[in-house]
Amino acid sequence: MLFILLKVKGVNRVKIRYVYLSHRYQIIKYYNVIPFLIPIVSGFTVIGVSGYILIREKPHPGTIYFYPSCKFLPIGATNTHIMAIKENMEEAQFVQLIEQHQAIIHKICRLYRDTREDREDLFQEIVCQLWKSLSGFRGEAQFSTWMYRVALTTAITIYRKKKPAITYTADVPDQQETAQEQEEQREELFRALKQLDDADKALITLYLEGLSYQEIAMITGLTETNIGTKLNRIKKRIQQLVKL
Amino acid sequence: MAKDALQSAWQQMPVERESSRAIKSMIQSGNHPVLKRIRRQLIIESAAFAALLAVYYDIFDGDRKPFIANVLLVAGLALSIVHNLIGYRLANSCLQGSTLIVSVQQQLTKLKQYAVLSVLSRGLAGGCLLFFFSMAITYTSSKYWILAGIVLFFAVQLFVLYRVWARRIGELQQVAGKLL
Repeated sequence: MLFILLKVKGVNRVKIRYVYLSHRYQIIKYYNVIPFLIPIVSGFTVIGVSGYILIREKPHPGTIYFYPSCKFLPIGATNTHIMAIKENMEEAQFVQLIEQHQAIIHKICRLYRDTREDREDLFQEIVCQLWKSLSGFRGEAQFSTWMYRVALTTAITIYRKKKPAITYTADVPDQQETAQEQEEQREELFRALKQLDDADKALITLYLEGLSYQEIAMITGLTETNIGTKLNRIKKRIQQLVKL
Repeated sequence: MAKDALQSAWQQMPVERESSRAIKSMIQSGNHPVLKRIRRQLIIESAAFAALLAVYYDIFDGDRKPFIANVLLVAGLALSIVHNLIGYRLANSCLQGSTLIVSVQQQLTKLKQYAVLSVLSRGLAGGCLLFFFSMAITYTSSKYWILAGIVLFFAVQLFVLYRVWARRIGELQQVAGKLL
């Protein structure tokens, strides 16, 4: 028999107040919660304010379930929000979220590592770190915001092999609107970004992703004024290196 | 350079795509590249230390050495295994800081603590081994030279280890400083 402890987080924390359970599950015990049960066609919804409920799968011969098919519905959540803490989150959901956001992880890997092998290692390291740190995600921000923080911290702090000697050229390609030219410009931009130090790379990545100063402040812990000053300096530096 | 040009160049950058199957296999700890390497090292070193502990008493005349020398040898080898285990745990730990700055500072603190442990454990393990093997030896001038050579070898190893850690910590400290 499978027993799973579900956490219904408090109003001021994650704002998860509704838990939908299918008929496959029954509630065994409540902890610090006075729930209201609302029966619906294929199950019932538990409404509480905070606390835990212990549920178990009803005997179902011949079938083994590793995760409950419950859905957590945070108030005001969008589809990009992660909807539960790790214990309750199906692996498939996590994989799906990473699939959706993998472009930014790849870009971070490309920015912080020079060889293909190192980039592949860093990509896996970031995905593993996101999976391990998932319980620390409290759903107060979007999944992508939390992901930026973990991915950038991993890229900065994880040990890397000594950088191979790379010579960066200062040549600026002519501006022609062909696909090849655009590709060259993108490469030029990347070469310029790679010349920045790790701290500046983190800030400019968040800026290039289109995040607001407020969001960058939330991820980095810097003040918005400080971010503005630093970004101006970084952009001037890039301007000297490349012209788009 | 217009703001939008930079951002659009970045956002249009083509990237590789990993399949959901590949991502799924990545989150299984058995496939983690760094942990895999540490595990392999841990197994090899632990096996070597265990083999040494199993035979040292007969082969290296443990019975003819003072009790304290035996204790120190076992303690030195055990310390090396503990050091490896702590390293594995550190590599497997998750990031808990609420912001990038806090996370980097936390990692820096952990790295400093582990660096101290790493240098100390290597030094102590080397010292214990040396103490054990230098016991019950009738010293001649040539043996003194050999002993001095071994001590020098350990000292150089420790210095290199210290330099490696100092470089890693220095790099991270620089990032933390620039972020603030």
